[in-house]
Amino acid sequence: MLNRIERKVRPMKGSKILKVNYLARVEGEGSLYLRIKNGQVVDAKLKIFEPPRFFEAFLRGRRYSEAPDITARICGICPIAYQMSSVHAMEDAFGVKVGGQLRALRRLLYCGEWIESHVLHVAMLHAPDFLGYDDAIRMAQDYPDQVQMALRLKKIGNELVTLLGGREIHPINVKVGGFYKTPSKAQLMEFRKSLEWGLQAASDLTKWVATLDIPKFEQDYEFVALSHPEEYPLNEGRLVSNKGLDIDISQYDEYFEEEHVEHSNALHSVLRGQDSYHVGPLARINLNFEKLTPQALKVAREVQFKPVCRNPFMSIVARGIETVFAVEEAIRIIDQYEEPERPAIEIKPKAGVGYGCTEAPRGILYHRYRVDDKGIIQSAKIVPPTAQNQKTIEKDLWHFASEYIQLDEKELTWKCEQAIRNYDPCISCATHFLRVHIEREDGQ
Amino acid sequence: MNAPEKILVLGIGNELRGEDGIGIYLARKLKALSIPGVRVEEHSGEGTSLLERLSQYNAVLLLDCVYADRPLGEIVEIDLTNGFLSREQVYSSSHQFGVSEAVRLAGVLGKLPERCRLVGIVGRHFGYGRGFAPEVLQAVPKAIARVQQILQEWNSSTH
Repeated sequence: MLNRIERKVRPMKGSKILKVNYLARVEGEGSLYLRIKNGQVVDAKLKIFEPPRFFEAFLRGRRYSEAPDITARICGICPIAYQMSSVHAMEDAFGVKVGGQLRALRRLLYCGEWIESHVLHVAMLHAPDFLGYDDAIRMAQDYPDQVQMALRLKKIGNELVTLLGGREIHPINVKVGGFYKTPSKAQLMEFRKSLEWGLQAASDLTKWVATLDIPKFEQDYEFVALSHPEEYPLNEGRLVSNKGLDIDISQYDEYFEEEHVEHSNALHSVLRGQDSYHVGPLARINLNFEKLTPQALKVAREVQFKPVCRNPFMSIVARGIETVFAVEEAIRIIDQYEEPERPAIEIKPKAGVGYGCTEAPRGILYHRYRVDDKGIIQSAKIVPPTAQNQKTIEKDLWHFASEYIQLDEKELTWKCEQAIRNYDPCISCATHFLRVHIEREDGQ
Repeated sequence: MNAPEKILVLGIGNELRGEDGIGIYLARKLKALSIPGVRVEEHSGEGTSLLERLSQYNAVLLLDCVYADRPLGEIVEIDLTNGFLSREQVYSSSHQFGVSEAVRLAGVLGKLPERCRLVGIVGRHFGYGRGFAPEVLQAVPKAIARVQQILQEWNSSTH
């Protein structure tokens, strides 16, 4: 659909209000409200005002087998994440473990989603902020090679998702227990050629974004991510943090809670009795740096990425490194692939509760389902990464805007939008347009 | 064997979001007419894959819903070969890298087809669910007739 865009500046007596009726390059619909008094930020609210989406409610009464396809519809960018968290949760409820090549194929599919999501955000949505362009189109006039490379790289991610998932958006080949159909070795080996080019391209893209002018800004975050003893986390692991958290995913509800806040339709997640936390590429890489694949680790060291990195603007570099990882991991999985005897293992429903937590491109995605003995869903809980980061984004803006308070509205808005995009927020997952509203009470 | 189609028609939208699905609806109507030399596809509007489709044909016609300060059901026709879709004028909704970004980027990268046009119908209702306002549905025959006329012109000049 084509939409009009509106940008209005509406002065009021004794104060200045800048109202941007859209924040571009953010998936979803919401707004940022910033109130400034006597040169100080006194209020920062990331508002999400799309009506609640009711996915948890209309999963009730549906069969367990429908969860991956229904939840995939929550997001057009990260449907694999929803499918993965839901199948893992169902398998947990039924006491089933999917291993071997089926597990590897799930990981391969997830690599495809990471590549397409990360590259879109790094090159097309976030890089223009750092270079002073309104959007990727204007950037493409001066950086056509980087944009063309990113487009080709993203296409590789899309193709991988299509190859394993059946189609590019809202894939249909994932099921509880495995897949409906698995690829042949020959199909994957043919695709491997694209990945070989992609590995170099992802490395070059990362090195390029590392040369961008990264704002100096650090916060003492609690980074939360999955951690697996043998691999960089995608589908499995314990939930850990840089401040001592180390829990099984089944303990999620004991340690995390969601708060309803008046200004948002999405629930704010916090650590119980504590405060906000940070999920996503920066959290993952800080907590799993040594588990990166060799080329990803080499690139990370070349660009001088050092964990623990507390600068959220470095998330663009973290996404680049994770793209290198995802391409490299995809090659490894394809090289070791042997066609499985069956596309899925047999599932026998039983009553119980199942937990799933996987690493969506934007951070941990938690699913919990209670099912009856026929596999009918009795209750569902879904906590997307953007809802988990929402409070952290508000706090970032509070502190970041304070440092740039002297800027005029246009510049300050630009900086705030750039800061929000550090989290690649997918607001439609969390509950759609972001409006930025800065109110100065001191008349400056 | 049929000769490969030289003209691509893309019906764009989400049929589960009210009038945003009118591009898809138009595409299905057009596909049923089986016009020689014309390939009709449905597309989500996702920008990067749309960009790729644009670069693969010399003539592309987009069918889409248009949200604009115009009367509901009005037919909008835009020649896209001159980079008309500047950000200030129109904006896409899908993942913030959608139709207008794809068209503009194709222009910058020299990937715009020689012929590229959009025929859209102005919509107003984009909530969850299927269905179109009567004004939108009433515009369909006229939109299809105009699309057929464009395709006939393009077809005759490509032979």
